[in-house]
Amino acid sequence: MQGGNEMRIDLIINGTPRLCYTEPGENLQKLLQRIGFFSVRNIDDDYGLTGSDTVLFDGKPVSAGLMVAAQADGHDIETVESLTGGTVMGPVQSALVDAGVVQSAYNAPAAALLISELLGRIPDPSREDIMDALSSLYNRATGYRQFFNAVEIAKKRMDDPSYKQKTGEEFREDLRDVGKVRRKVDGAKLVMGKKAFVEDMVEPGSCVVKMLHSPYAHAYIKSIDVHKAETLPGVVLVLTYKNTPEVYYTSAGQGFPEPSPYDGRMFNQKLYFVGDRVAAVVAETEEIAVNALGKIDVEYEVLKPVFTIEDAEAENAPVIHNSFLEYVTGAPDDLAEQNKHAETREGKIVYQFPIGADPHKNIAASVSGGIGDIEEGFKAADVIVEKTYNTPQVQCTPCETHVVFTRMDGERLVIHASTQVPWHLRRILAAVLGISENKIRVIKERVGGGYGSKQEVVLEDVCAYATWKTGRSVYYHYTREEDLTCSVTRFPMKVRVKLGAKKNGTLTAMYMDLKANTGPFGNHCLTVPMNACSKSLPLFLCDNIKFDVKVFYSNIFPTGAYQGYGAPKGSYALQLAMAELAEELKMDHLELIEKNRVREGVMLEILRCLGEGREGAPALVRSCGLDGALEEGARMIEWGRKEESGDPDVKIGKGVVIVQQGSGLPGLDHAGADVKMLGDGSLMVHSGGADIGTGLDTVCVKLVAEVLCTDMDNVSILSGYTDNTPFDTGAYASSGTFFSGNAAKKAAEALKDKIIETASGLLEEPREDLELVYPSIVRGKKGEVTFGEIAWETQRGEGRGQLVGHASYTTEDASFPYGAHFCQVAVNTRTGVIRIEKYYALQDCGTPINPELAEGQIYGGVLKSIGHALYEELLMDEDGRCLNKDLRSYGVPMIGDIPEDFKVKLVYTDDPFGPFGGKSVSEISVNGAAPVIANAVHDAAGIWLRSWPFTPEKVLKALGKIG
Amino acid sequence: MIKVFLKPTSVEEAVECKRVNPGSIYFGGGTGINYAGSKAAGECVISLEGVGLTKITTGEGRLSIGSTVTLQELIDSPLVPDVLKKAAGFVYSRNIRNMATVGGNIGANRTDSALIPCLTALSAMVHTCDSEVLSVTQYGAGDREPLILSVQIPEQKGVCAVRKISRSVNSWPVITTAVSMAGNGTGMIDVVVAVGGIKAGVVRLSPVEERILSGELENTDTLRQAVSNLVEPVSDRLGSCDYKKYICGVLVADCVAECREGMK
Repeated sequence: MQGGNEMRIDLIINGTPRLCYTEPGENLQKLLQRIGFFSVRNIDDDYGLTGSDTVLFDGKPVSAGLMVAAQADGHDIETVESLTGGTVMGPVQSALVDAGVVQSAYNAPAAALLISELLGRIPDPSREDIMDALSSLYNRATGYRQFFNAVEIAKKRMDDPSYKQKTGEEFREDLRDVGKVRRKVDGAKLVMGKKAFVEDMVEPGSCVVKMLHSPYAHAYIKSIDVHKAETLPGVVLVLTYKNTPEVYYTSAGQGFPEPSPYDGRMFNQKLYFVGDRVAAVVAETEEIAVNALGKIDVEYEVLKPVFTIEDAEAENAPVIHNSFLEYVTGAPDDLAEQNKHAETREGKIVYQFPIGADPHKNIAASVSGGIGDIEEGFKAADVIVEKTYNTPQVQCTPCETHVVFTRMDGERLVIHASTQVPWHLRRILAAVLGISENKIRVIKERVGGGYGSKQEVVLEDVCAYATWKTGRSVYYHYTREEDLTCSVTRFPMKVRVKLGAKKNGTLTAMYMDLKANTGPFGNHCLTVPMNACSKSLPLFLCDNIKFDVKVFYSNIFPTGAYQGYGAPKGSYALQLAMAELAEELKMDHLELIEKNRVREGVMLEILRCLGEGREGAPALVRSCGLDGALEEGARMIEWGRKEESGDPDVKIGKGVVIVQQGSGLPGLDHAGADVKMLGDGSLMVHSGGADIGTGLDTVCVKLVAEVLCTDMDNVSILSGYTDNTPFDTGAYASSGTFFSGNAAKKAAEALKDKIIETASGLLEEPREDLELVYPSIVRGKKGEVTFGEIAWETQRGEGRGQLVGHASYTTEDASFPYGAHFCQVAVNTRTGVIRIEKYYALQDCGTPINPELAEGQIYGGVLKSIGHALYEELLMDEDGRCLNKDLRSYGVPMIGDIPEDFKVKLVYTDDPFGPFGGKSVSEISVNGAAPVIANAVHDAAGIWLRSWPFTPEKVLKALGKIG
Repeated sequence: MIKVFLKPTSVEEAVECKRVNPGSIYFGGGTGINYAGSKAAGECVISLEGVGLTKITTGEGRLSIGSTVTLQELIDSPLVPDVLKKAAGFVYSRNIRNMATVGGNIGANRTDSALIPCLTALSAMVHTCDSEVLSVTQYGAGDREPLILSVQIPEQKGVCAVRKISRSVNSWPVITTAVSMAGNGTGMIDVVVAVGGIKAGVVRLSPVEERILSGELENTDTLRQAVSNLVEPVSDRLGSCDYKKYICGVLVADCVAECREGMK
């Protein structure tokens, strides 16, 4: 029997006996990380919900975060390192990469362990066996569906390591790599659990940050005394509004000048939500930091909070930002009058240009616009429907919570970031710290899931400032609770849609009146709600369109960017309203869509008034895959055929919607890339693009290999390092393939030009007689020269210098991805439970550059959207405190929640502007599930579900079963 | 925060550890103690790993389940009735099922317990180190201090059904129900209705049991309504009182219907 404070434990890890000393309460996951098994991760505050802490314990999978290390005494532990010998993937790991599920990949090592255990236990597992084995695994990126493919490949590859299986449809026979299934370039590193994420880069001895969060939703700090905390041994620094820069900025990583107001400092004297920053402690250890938080004395002046749009717009509502207003350009004439009653403790708001704000009335932004004559349009209508749709606050919930590690390198500040926007991050931090950008180096590490939430500066400012001020290395990793409540979420919105149509279904007028709740700050407050209009209204052709957007401040948890931006909410409202119109017209919904939908060759005039913080421009639709998507989807779901369940309580129904997104922001986005020829003729790409797990690096490598007629294995890539790679606005607005991809392609073309020029000299043949041929050869009419020979010629002592192709990419051309989603649901009218029997997402992303990764992103997007539609919502009590602070309470979908028949179909179109015809794919798929499920539920049970989530309780209420 | 981790090698040693360490708690798989939201904090824990309570056996007309048997071991055992396997599967995560123990699930006495409604319906008895034999709900209603040695389930003469409803597969259960019914060939002689999610712990709906036995609640809607009228759940983030009343009635009625079907 043992006791006492330090325990010796003997265990076997991956077959090797180990002796460890542990405190009795030390968590097993923490012990394993402490001794070097850093792939055993904790991202759910030890709730055992995500599986990232999976190890095999005597051969059985368990969650190490739920165990104390002492339990491991005398036992066998296996981590992902047990699956591989050195640098070569095991059969399960390579199967996961080939199946396309290794994307943000934070949980990929855990998935590999779980599937290995399954196949050891059941060599030929059923679908139910697979779902059971993966029941512990949270995967936000790829929607679980491709795990079934991975298991199928793995079980065959265990017998035959050379086994290959086609894991996705392939496109473009004229191309070698683009459109083909190829291994993701960082797949092996991620699935084997090698160092890849920010937390893997933290140096021993680094300080940690812990934050004192506001207990009130709306309050002033009357006084704050940090003396006791500061003098605690081991405390390095305590930060409050009193000793941090008085610099106002936006957390939104958008192109400068941003449409988002600069309405907050690093620390404010006013507190805007439960969880807002009061003080940060930087300390030698987490324990000391937590202890120090308890020694900070704060006196609050509590104010009445505002949580809803209705409360925010009410007469005499408490003012969230009674700040001094400043405009860089376009100040209103009555600015002095507006500032007359501003409160000093609230600081100021700086606008780069007007965004229709009136913060003293809680209006963060507003905009109106339209085409044609809306009144005349409604007068011309035979049928008018007008409905209001409500959507709550939902969270991005990436596997990897927000995290940053900062350190000094001489006189320069180095930021190891999990970010979608390395360059915006550098610019914003430079402004906050009051230093020039050359003093800061941002290294974008692998991102364990972003989905928009990492388009923000969430905690990097605090760590950067602490490091800059103290010279110490500083690490900050949000807990799951912090991430749920203190990062960013999707804006709650209330959307009123009014549609007018002729009896034959022709739309005569479309009106969208959108009110959004931006919460405490105005990051993305203009553009997210506008996007709800700009990514939904252009799906239908109508001469008379109008929209009004008004956005309100409140004291809910912060909002911001989230995959799809505003589109999922605009799409839900408009697509459902179209279904309601179809019912009024007594017309088949699909027929109504067909009659009014966008088509190739049309000019989208409405975009003239839907620019993102600038004047918009009409856009010509040059490619649109809706013809094929709707036709194929209708065939797959057997549209028009009524299904029966055989159970009188269970009603079956079908639904359809169409969706769209953009491919980056023409006129606003900017990408850059270099392609360098190395000494042996192989190639190095330096891309500014930020691969956030979606496979952008693989896109760039494929494009370069394709242009330069070489093998992908001859091309390596470094991306998102501000010191080494060219500027890129970042990974948001579905810009990766279109902007960063086009930049890489153009850089390869620039290098190709130089290769041809050099070869022309070497072969003494004119350029026009030369061509690049695979593999890595320039061939003329008389002879040929290899890339290796060209490299030697250019880089030798008398050479002309290393060949480098550089390009930046900007454009005014727009490429829109489109899609049609179909689903079939079973509604249990006794329990209110909605079961999705079939879900088919047919997506046009032009040429799918990485088909299997594109499919994975679509599955992931659809399942997120299913989660939002059926389960997820961030709840708060009457004081603004979060009621569901863990992923289980919040309700993220697991593998058991996927539709029974879940299919993605890529619909090929050849877009003239995208690289080799590629359009975006990353965001669009989150726009479909909520409206298509609601439509199918109506078809099944005759009820309209006009607010998310469609809980059993709401269904029962709509059915009149409960009051 | 655990400061002392004791590893007794016998039941007697475990009980002695408990006696000499006031405030200490027994520690099975640890899932209910180690997770971040746990309220079962103790500075001294007594691991039950080595005390030999890991067996599932049958004999003398009953099934005996050692208190440190995991939920997954229940599912994997050929001796365990399917309905109890189904209840163990209400804990969605296989990782957690590999860790969480039967004794831990009973000891925690949570209202959303996966096992307690089913064990109650199966008339399971808890055998403790004090030689006490208590029903599962009796044990939960007490101070839950005595170490659970085993849970013993009498040979089933009737049928049992369980139901759970939650938003998603892994969400917290809103309501969990279990019903058992036994007959003697001419009529029904025993009914147990156990429900979790209504208030603290798991409760038996005795008035409903009596009315089912008396034949008053043959009609499904009448039964559902009777249950809904009887229970008084609280509104919370999982649902309103009205919803819980209604859905509790539906789940009990569904269990009863399944039992009646099974008795045919």
